[in-house]
Amino acid sequence: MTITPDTLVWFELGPLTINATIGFTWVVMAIMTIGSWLVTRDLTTSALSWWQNLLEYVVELIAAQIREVSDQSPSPFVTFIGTLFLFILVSTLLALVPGFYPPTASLSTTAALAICVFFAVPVFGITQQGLRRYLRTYIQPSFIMLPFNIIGEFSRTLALAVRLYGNVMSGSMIVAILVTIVPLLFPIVMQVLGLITGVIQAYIFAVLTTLFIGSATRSRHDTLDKQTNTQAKEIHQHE
Amino acid sequence: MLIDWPTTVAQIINFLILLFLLRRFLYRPLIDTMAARREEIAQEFMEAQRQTDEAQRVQRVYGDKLAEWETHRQALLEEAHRDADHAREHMLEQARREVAAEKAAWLEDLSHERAVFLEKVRRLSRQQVLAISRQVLRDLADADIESGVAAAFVARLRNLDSATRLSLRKSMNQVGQEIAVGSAFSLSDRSRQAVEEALKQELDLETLKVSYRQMPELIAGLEVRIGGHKLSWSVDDYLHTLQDSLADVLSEVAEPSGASSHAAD
Repeated sequence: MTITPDTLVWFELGPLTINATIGFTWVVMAIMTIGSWLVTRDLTTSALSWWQNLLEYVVELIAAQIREVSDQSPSPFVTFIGTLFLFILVSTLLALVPGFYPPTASLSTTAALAICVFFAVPVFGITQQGLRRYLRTYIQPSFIMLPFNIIGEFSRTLALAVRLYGNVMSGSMIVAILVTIVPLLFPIVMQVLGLITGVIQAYIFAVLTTLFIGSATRSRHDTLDKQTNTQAKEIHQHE
Repeated sequence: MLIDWPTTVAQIINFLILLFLLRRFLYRPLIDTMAARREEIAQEFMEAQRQTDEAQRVQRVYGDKLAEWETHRQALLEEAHRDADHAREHMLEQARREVAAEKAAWLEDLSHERAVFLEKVRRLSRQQVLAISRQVLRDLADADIESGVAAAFVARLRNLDSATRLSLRKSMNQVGQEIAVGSAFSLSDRSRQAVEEALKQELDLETLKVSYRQMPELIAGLEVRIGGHKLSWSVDDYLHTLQDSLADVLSEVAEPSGASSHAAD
C-alpha cells in the first residue's frame, strides 16, 4: 500500500527517476492527445460525428462555466482552465482501471498544478490589464494590504494543491483499505463515491482557478464596464 | 514530506506540454471549427435574410403587377359590359323598329282587309236593299198603279223648269215628232191620252207621234225619250238614287271606323 505513486519507481533514466506519477501522467497525456487528434483531424462544420459533438459540448460547457464564474469573455482562459479540468477529470476517471494510480493522487502533481495556477494568475492579470495596473491590485485597497495580498497569493496556491491531493488520495486510500477489509461490493460503492468526489474536485479546482484568474483580470474589465456605462449615459442624455 | 520536488518539476513540464498539445489538437481546431460554423450560420442567416428580402421585394413587385392586371381586367370588363349594353340597346332598337314595321304592315293589311270586307258588305247590303225594295215594289205594282204613275208623270211634265222645257223642244225639232214612251205595264188609253195631251202642250206641238213599248225593268213608272233627252218618273230611278245614297252613306260609315282603328294602334 502506497500513499503516493511517487514512490513507485518504474525505471531510472540517467539522473531522472521515472516513477508511477510521471508514467501515468504520460499515459493520461497520450490518451488525451491521441483522442483529441483522432476527433479533431477531420472536423466538419456540418454533420458532426458523435465524438466531435461530445468534445464541442465539453468545450462549450467549460467556456460557459468560465463566463458564469468570472463574468468575462472565456476565450483567453479556456485552454488553461479546460486543460486543468480535463486532466484532473481523466486522471480521476482512469482510477477505475485496475492497477492505475491517478497522478492527481500525488501531492507532487497537485502541487505542480497549483504552482502552474500560481504563475498563471499574474500572467493572465498582466496580459489582460498590463503590469502597472496588475501590480496596483496588490496595494488595494491600501498599501498596508500588500503583505496580506502576497500571503493570500501563496496560501491559496497551497490550499488548491492540498485540497485536490487530499480528496483524490483519500478516495484511493479508502478504496485500498476497504478492499483489504471487505473484499466484495462495498469497495465498488466506495470507488463510485471516489469517482464522484474526483469529478467534483476537478470541477472545484477549475472553478477556483477561474475565480483567481478572474479576480486578477477583473479590475481592467470593471474599468471598461464603467467607461461603457458612462458612454451609454452620455448617449442617453444626448437623446 | 510528501512532495517529491523532481517529480513536481517534471509534472509542471508535463502539464505545460499537455497544455501545448491540447491547445494544438483540441481547443484550437474545435474553437476554430465552432467559430467557422458560427460564421457559416451567420452567413446562411444573412443569405436567408437577403433571400427573404428579395422574395418580399419580388412578392411586392408581383403584387403590384397583379393589382395592375386586376385594374386592367376590370377596365376591360367594364368596356365589354358597355359594348354589350350598346349592342343590346342597338339590337333592341332594331328589333323594336322591325316589330313596329311589321305591325304597321300588319295594320295596313288589316285595314286593307277591313276596307275590302266593308266594300263587300257595302255592295252586298246595297244589293240586298235594292233587291228587297225592287221585289216589294214589283209585287205591289200592277196596272192600276200605272194610271197613278201616268198622273205623276204628267204632273212632273207640267212642272218642268223653262230651261229643260226649252232644250226638250229644241231636240224635238231636230229629231222630228217621234217620241218613245216606255212603261212597265202597258198604259191604258186614258193614261196614254193624258200623257200625249201633256206632251203636246208642254212641247208646244200640233201633232205627235208616240211609240209605246213595255219596259218591265222600270218596275213601275214612265220614261219618255226625245232624241238624247230622257224624261222619266220610275221606281227604278228612285232605286238608282237610293243606291247612290246608300253607297255614299256606307263609305262615310266605313272611313271613320277605319281611321279610329288606326288611331287605337
